[in-house]
Amino acid sequence: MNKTFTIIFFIILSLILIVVQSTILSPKNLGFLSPDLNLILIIALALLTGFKGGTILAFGNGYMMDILSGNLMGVNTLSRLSIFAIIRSTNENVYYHRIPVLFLAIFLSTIFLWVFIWIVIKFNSDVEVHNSFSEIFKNGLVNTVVGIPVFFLIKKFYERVQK
Amino acid sequence: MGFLRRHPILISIILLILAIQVSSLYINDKQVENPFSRSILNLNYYPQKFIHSVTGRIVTVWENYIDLIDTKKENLKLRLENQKLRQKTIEISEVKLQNERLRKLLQFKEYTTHKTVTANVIAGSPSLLRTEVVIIDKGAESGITEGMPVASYDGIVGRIHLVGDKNSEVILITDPLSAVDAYIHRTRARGIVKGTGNSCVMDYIENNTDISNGDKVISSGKDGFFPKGVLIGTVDNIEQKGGFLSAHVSPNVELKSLEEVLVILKKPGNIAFNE
Repeated sequence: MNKTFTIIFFIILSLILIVVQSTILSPKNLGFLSPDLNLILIIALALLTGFKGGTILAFGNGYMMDILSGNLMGVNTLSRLSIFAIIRSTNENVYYHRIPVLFLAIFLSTIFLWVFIWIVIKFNSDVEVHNSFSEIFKNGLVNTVVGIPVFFLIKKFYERVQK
Repeated sequence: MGFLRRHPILISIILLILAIQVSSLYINDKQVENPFSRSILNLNYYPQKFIHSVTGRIVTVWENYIDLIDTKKENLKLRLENQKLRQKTIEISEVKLQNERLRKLLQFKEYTTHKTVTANVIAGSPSLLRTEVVIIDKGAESGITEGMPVASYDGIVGRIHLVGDKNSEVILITDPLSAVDAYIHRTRARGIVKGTGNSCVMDYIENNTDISNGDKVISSGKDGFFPKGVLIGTVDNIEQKGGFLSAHVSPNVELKSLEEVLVILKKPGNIAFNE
């Protein structure tokens, strides 16, 4: 029963976060100041959930990002899945739930995400990444500042669902 | 499972290679239409529409509240402004005439034989990678299909990329994957207007062409997507690029604050006789 609730919880949460990210906090209006709530959710999935369910949810979230942000299919799906795999492989580290380590994890995940995207885009000569490194750096900081309270909020709800 | 846990970097590299393959596939194809994509777009319609209407109401209530506070000050200010406005009436009548001319250029119904559908922008792209995408609240139920041109009364906005039942995704003309066959209105010089992320550039203009800053750029209708004669933007910088001229074009439509758009129900490839 708990497992079903957990899956439903994360599906609803995914939908809420992606809708918030595409309306109130859309990068179209806020630019690099728009936090990547979807990335924060992927990190939370890697740290809180099981492997199978987490992988499917991370894939679904990335795919939703791809659909709602135009084409370039697979870029968000696979980059976010990759972040999920890396964080998931080290999720037994107890320090992850401490703020400075989490801060670093979210920040480095943002940088990793953009390096991944940059490499993919580089291989496709007709498109370019228009975001400067300073924008990505600032977006990383925004993600960490917003991400930490969001992560602990997700964790709190997750624990409640688990009971 | 243990292998996956032990080799995250290897997995990342595999995923990276896969991403390069998949994305290049889609860039060449430029189509994402499949039932799954469509259902994801449909799934997001009601929540996005709800948030859009709630935030709209909050903004209205807040603006009304602010209005009440400032009414007294504004009353005085408006009286002064009223005097100035009377003086400007003559100027306005001049602008009105100019507006009428522009209206003739921009009234799509006068120019094309196609029907139009008015839609509201309810959401934007959730990704910082591609911000030049918006979601509108009309879809297949209103007769919209992929590739249809989207405009506002100020000019071209973009093209329908993905269609849901009640909503659609629009790729704006400023998106790097957008391209519109265009003319310089004054000299009929031809080129391709491409998106650059937050603006546009008109490439492949012949070297000896008469073109200057301030020239209006309009669609040629020859790409099979956009109707002929719709305003795209204004040239504000020209430079030499290889054997051609390249002009920076500022879109006529304020794409950052887009609220209402007009979808022209013109299927790609159908060039009307009057175009």
